[in-house]
Amino acid sequence: MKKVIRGIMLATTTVLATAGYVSATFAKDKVTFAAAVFAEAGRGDRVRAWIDTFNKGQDDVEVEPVAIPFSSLANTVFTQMGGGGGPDLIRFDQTDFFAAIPSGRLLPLDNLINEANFKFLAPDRFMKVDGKRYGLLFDTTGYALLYNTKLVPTPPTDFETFLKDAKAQTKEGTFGYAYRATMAERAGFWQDVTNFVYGFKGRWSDGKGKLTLNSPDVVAGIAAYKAVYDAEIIPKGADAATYRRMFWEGKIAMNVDNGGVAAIFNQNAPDLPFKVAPSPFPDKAQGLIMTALVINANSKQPKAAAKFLNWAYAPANQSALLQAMGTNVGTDVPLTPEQTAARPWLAAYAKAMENALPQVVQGFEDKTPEIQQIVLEQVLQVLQGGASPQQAMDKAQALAERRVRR
Amino acid sequence: MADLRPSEVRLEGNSWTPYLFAAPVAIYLILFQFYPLAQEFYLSFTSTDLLRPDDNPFVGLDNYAFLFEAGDLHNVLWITAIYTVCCVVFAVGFGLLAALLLDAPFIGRGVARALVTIPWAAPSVAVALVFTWMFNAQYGIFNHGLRALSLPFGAENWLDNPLLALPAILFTTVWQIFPFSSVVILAALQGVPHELREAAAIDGADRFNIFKIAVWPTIQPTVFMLVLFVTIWSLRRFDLIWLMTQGGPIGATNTMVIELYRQGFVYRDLGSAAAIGMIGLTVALVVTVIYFKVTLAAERAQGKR
Repeated sequence: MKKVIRGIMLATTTVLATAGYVSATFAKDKVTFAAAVFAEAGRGDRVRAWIDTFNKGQDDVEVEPVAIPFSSLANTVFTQMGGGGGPDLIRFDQTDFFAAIPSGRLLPLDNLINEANFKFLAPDRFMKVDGKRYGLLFDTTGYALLYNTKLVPTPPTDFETFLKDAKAQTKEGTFGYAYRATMAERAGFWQDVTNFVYGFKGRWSDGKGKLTLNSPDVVAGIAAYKAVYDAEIIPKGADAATYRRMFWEGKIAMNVDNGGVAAIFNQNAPDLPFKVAPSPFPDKAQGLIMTALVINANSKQPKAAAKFLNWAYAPANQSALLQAMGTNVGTDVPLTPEQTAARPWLAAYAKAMENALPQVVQGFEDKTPEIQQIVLEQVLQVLQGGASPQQAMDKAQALAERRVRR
Repeated sequence: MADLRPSEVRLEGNSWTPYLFAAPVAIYLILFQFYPLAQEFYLSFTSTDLLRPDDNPFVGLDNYAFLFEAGDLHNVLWITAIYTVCCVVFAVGFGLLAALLLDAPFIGRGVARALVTIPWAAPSVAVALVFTWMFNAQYGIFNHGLRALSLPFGAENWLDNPLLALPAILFTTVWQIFPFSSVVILAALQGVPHELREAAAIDGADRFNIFKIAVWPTIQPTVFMLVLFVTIWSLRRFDLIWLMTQGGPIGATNTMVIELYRQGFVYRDLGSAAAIGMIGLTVALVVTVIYFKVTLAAERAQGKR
């Protein structure tokens, strides 16, 4: 009996050991890739399919998409990184990308990719800090005026005409314009405010280490934001998801937004008559959306992650990514006439990017989240608390300087 | 055995037996309560970034000083106090009223008792999203109602208005939590001896006096316990407020827990977040001590001690 039991145990051990060896031999290096885009309806599925084409062509690496909503991505991943873990690859918003660099949480990519192999777009220069490359431009777009040609046949070219047109269109459930003005949508609120500030020649800093939150041009931008708020031309309280839906239903006449939004409009309402024009502000400068694809410094699979990066930035795969995202991607992708006809806004947004600036506080990139919070609270004081733009921005300057000095 | 004093009771087994029984709970408390608490206490005296938790230089009382000077801690404490007091008063008050109504005999009482628990059973996230829409300026049912009544309001986005945001959050919170109070008090009301009510009625007491003499003394400990629970829960409520306003607009709904999250995850400043946590812990301890003092005084007044 003992011999039988011993025999069974030996056989079991042999089978298990062999199975373990075989599975280890055929196992792929699993690389996790966290991005908010995977959580988006439509675009998320297309980008997952794009990653699947990589996985199908690989014997030793598999990329696993991890969907995290935009609002919680940075907090989730930062907490994981602080604990020594986190996904291998991350698509970071520009604010979070710059915040992660000084903490040493991003792997320098200089030895993992050969940048001479790729034709990166101009904003790629922001992916390097102190001569080191910490990320690759994943997708990028500028801001411009989206307008419903049925409601506004000719786009306004100056702020006064814009206000007049928006007022004329605000009637019977239709609004002339829409933007964000609540802390519940902090990131989007910051983007909208920054477009107004840039459009009125304001900058959050002088780029040489001095904050300029209360400079006359910034104050002019905030005053314009307030003028729109008081003009009763926006659906107050409607979040971005709601007013974008209203736009493609023909209930919003104009909206300054990025190229991704144009793609969303087109996807949800292919027959919607809309066009893109420069934002109706005195200065051409507008915000720049850019996301960075980075490798987590805690990653146990940096070489496998780099293999994916090198695949992702090959011209054919960049072209496929552009189709999936509906916005410009990290490299220069020549468009066919068919692609241009199908997405006419891409050319307009490519032009808008010539004057685009990142929506971070230059020189204070890692402190942008804190400055952002302070500025937006003061903008709310202007919109709802009765404070004058100058008074509120003076306070923002004082609070931000104190916070930055810590 | 009943006549023996505790010092005269001899336990069976060796002298380590009691420690053996207490050890699992003690180990659990040390590992999962006291150790993190001690670490948080230490963290509050350091400058620690969320992304670099290992690098935490000692800064003494700097975090506390910063919160009181540059931060908005006075406002945060004030909002927390208003929110907590209103939650306790309205949630326990409406709970008591609802329990008294549901205790009285009427047709459909069983259905009414079941219906009243629905808000408590609803997930906070769903409640927050539904109420956010209900408070919306253009599409919200509250503004539709106000406009229908031709009241001088109706164009306000409640959650974006610094004057209306806190009442709106309080309304939502009380709507969700008062059923818990009512169910607990209703259970306590079942313990009120029927003879006591009858005796009071025979003595000519009206409804209010019956409640005061016969009902209140029985349910009072339960109500006091509810007050403590609702106070502690209100001090630490996060989900509903964060989902509806994130502490805004302009700090109008910024309670201590929301500020803790903002410091830790918006500013990534774990040191300041820990300092707020310690202040919050102190407030909770003070509330608990007051509760036990009041309870003790009430018991002494009733001659129970």
